[in-house]
Amino acid sequence: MNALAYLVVMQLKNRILTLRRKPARLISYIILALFVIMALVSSGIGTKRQQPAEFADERILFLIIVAVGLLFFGLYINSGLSTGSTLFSMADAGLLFPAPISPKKILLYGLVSTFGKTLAASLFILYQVGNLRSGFGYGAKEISALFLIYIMMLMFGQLVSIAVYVFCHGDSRRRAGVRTIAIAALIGLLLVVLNIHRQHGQGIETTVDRVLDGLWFECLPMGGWALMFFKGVVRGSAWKMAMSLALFAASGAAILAYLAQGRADYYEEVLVSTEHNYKLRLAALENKNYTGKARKKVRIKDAEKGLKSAGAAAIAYRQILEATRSNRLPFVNGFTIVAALTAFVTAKAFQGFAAGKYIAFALLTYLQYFTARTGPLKTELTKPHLYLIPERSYKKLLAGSVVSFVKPCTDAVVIFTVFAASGGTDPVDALFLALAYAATGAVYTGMAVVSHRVLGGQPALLLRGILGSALLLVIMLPAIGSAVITAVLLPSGLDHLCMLPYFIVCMISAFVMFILCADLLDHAEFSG
Amino acid sequence: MLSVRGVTKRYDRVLANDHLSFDVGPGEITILLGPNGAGKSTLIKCIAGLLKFEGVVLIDGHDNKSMEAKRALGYVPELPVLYDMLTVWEHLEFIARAYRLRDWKAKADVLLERFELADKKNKLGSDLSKGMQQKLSLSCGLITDPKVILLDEPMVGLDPHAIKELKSIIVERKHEGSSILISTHLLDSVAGFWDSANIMMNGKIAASRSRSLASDNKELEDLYFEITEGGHRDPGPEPAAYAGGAPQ
Repeated sequence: MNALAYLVVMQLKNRILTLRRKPARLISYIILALFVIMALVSSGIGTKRQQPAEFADERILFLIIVAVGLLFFGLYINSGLSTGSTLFSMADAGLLFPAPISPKKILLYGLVSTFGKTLAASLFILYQVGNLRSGFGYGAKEISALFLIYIMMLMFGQLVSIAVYVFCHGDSRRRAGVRTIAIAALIGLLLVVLNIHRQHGQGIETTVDRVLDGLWFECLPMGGWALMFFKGVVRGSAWKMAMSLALFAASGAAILAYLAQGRADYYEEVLVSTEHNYKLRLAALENKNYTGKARKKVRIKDAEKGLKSAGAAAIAYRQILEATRSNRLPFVNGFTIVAALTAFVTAKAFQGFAAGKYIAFALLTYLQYFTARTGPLKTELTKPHLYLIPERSYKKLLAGSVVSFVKPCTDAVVIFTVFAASGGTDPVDALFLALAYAATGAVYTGMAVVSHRVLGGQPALLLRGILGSALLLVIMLPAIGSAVITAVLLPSGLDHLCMLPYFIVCMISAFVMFILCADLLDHAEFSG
Repeated sequence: MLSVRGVTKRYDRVLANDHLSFDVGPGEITILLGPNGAGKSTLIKCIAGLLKFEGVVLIDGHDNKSMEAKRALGYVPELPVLYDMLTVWEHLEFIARAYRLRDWKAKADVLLERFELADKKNKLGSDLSKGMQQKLSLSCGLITDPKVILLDEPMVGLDPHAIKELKSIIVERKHEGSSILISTHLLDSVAGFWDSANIMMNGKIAASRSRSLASDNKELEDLYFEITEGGHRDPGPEPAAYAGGAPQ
């Protein structure tokens, strides 16, 4: 057996054997497998596709495929412009790269092992079997096709990311060129869609129809190719399937040929990306924050002023100083822009739909949850000085939470101004939604404190995640319940007031959480 | 032997290595000294073929990216990162297969014994402590009996026994004719067995000394602090003064 085959086989064997020593993991795998099997059996996956007339509009799924494909494509290009992607581990970089093995074989090994990991990560699609079956009447063939295109998109996306990274690494002009082309392509696509909409002017459905049916649209990288394949499967068009596979295969082969040209010249770029990914993984395992992105240079104007205040308040001042230095507009960062764009899109999508504003609100607070998980307080709790400064625990805790409280307020103002201006709702509604959004941020911050207090010593990340989510649900239920009850009781003209009790209950919950965990820093374990 | 000629490495606008040239002859131990950020690890990675650079690196007379050069090179990275799902023994077997080694098992046993890993043969990479990972990483780099050995901060994380053992292995390999390049910022850790030293500062070799020119480690230490803290730039002796063989 050659070295690379040995490496793959032994890692796989040991991964399976390790389960003997980790029964909890084995049980969780068995449960997950049982879920998949149950989903497959209960949905009658073996049977053929049912009559489509009784099911939801297929175009929804087509749109999702294209949106996911284009989003992945954009994200992978973006990652190629910053840190790149990698097919390798740090061990590969340290042990494989210097070994006398052909770089092309090493590249193939990277592809095969990444394919295996992608395959395992894509199994979650099988959980959607029930939904796809009941929603669209899909059978085994269609669901397998979805599974396949998802894997193809992920694999191809990673190759694109590596290729962009290799092409642009250390060359700011190339990087700027790729970025310009990507932005121009996106604007061009939007203009074409807008033009189709203006030409036919019969509402969004006609535009969607025309765009989705256009062959040009199916030729767009990743999203379009994936759509072409899926339409080929659903409509029984063999040439579409073949064409899509050919596009993926030819482009992938071209990228591989580009990477494999010369003598191992992809090692440097891969090494940098691999180191970045390794640090990310370490940070995740150690419950720390790490972005690894090169920080832009900050001109220090106020160095002479120094830090104001003393004691615990110095922590807050330091956080505010960092926040103002890291963004041109204080507290307005990339997330604010993404959330504002989401608000714009949802406002347009749900215009005229009464419950649309609540769907948008739910979506935005869901996004907010992920940033709150890695927010300033979380970072602060992984640094020793918060524990060491000779001040009362509650003072330090409050000081360390200042930015975590202020940021959702700033975001709320921006996001719901955009939402109202885009026709998502009226200004009064937007005000209450903004208040509710800021209060949700306070709850998330409180949750960070509670979960550190209650689950801080729990070494199992998965268990901590599950328990944390369950705890959040319990804490959020009274607020959500109060909003629902108010909405039912109040006349329809006053429905904007239903977010008021939500706001009040959230603030009370956050307050209670802080009171209960005021002594956190005296008792919790330092996890940095 | 190892020959480095005009190696220049840039990261965008940062010049990490600036026209570096030196040789490490057979049976010679050369140390790269310098503060953090001096460019030592970058140079080691360039020599190991992990980074692109301008210039020439010859390992045993072959271009550093050729298969012949790779066969002759043993590299121990600064960060010992192993495969989580391979055991200690399987790591060595993997290296043996990758380098097409024969009769490697006896050598592997000796290395594991010397680094006190013999009873950890069946432990997975993920179950090893950082020190043990460093010992295994050293074993992987040394099991191929390389003609050129690159050690990037090899003593970091090792216990006193392993440091003592590593030092004696380095000296043994020197006597067997290997060219050894050690990057470190801990002068004490290599005192006693270096033959030539390059002090790096801001990507350049600010000074070079051979054991015969520097009467003792104290002189090298003084020179190091003079350079790193005093902005000193010493043209030093020509590389030829110490290249091509181990000073006796």
